[in-house]
Amino acid sequence: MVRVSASDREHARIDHRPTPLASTLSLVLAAVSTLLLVSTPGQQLAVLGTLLGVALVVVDGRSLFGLDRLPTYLLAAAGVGLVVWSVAHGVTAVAEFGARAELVPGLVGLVLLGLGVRPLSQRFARRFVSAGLAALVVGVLLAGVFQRAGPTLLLAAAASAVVAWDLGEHGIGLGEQLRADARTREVELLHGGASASFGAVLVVAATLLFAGGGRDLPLSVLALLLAAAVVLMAALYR
Amino acid sequence: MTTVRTTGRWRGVVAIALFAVAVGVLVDRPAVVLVGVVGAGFAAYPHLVGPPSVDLELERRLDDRHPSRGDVVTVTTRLTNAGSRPLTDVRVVDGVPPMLTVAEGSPRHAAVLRPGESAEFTYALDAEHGRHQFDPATVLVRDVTGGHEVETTVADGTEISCADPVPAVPIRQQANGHAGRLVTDEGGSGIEFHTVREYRPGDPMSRIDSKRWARTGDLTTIEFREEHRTSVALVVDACESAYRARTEETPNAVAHSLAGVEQVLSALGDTRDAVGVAGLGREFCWAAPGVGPTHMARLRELLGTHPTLSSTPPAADTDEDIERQTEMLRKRLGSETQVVVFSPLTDDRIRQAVRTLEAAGYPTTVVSPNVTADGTLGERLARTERANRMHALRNAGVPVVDWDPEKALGTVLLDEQQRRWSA
Repeated sequence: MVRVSASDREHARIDHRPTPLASTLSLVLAAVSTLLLVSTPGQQLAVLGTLLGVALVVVDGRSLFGLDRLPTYLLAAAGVGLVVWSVAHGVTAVAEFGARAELVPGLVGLVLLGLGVRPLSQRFARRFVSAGLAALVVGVLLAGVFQRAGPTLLLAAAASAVVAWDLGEHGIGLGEQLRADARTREVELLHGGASASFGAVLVVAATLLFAGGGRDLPLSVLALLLAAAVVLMAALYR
Repeated sequence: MTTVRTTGRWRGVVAIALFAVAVGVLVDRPAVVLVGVVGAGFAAYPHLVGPPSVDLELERRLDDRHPSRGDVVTVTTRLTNAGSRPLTDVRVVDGVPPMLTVAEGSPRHAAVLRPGESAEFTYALDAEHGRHQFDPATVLVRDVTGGHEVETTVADGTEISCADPVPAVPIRQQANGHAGRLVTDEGGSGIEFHTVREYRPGDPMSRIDSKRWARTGDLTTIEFREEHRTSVALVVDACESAYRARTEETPNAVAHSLAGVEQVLSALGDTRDAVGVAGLGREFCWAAPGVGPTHMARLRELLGTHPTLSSTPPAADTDEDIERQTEMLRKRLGSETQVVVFSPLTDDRIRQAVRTLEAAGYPTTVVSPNVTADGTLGERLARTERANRMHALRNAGVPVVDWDPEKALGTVLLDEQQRRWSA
């Protein structure tokens, strides 16, 4: 009302951005997903550089470590520059097509996820995060197709991509409903912890399945089994 | 009011499983097919747990229940899991009274609650004039996977009252048989001198003008102004169109009206006047005029809980037959009842309702919170329309108090009264 001065209003401006903890964990897990697949130091540098760049873009405009507002646009510009450099470095560092195929979708996924949790647009935040997951999964599948990582690593990368999406989406929901100034840490940690544990169980179970008999099983039978399971899932959702 | 729903947030994961299996089969790579296991597993994940059973209790503590205007009131809300299951994702938005703004902290909180455990959060409110009831807190509980969501409300009848005396209640000159504080133009017994008239047999001896009798020998009787009690029905216009606000951050007109009713109610509660409350909107809401603390408590409860008298707008397709509701109100009003309508006058139907009541012989006054702005063309049009409605009502003999909600209602009414006396 009348007594709210301009600066108060600025301070009280409703911040519906995704919660910081879930966003951070989500980005880190997405980077881990790609790091599990790549092998050369050049590629790893590219992933870490992209992560850092995306993190700068995400942090931009938020209050952090007691600083009220970090210098806007400066950080974002630095982040974008870093991302561009990292992607270029990742592409040029290796000549092989397979190596590029496993790295580039992962980097694109990381960037999309970052745009989702920044968020670039409140309305499309979830779309960006989902697109990020899709890109990460494409990276995992390409790594599998070009046989650049073992089954356990593939599984772990896929699981961490899914958990990264889960955390990102959860953080967006919390930000929408409770705003970024509410205390949401425990809920985020518990949710992320539960998803990550479930992912770990899945990876271990699938690895055991593969090592214990999956290798001898004809591919078509394995595929049929999985397809049946998926159809069952789809039917459950309807 | 509890709703259980599935969020369907894991639905897309099925696509990963299908895609991985398809690609794996296509390029003949068992390891890629195996990735499908992760997709299928996460698709099954939300089905491993059912919707949470929610049993919550809420308690609010205020550091000052009777602040003065501008004071900062600290609210501590404690949410307790009274059920036997742990709740892993509890999100609560406290029902801050619509007229109050949060000065510090957040009325929103998320918590993990084991059985019997409670979460506490604190925020501060700027006190405004009037009595403010807290709305029920909205609580959203999700299971650990986020697949199911339970939305519910938890109430705790807390209120803040910030005294704002309304010295002049907008009641019109009108008389009935009961003694009260409304000073009428009729002569009789009372305090204030009215007239001297010829003695009629049966006049009380104490009212005979003895000095005149001693001087002239004529018997005359002194009459005083009679003071009568009045009966007032406070009507809130809560039609869908009344939920207008000047900007998105400011309270809407119905919130202002309800605050105004609360203030007038407090003022009338100290007198012997009978007060009732009615609401026009979603459905007809009515409490007949009465007196006494019990009646006042009942009215306050009605104001705080009746769905029609809510400060959140109804769904867009709500059927509001104002004409029929006015008719119901007219039938329920006693013959000597005055009507005070709180309405932003954003709708022609309410103007019609006021004219109907006035024509039916109930002295009607309109208190109109002004929530119009003059930014866009549409806003200016709305402002002109409202001015026209006020003008039409005044022409029909209905006093209209134009209330700018940034001023205290008491001041506005006092100004209005002085203006009318001097006019």
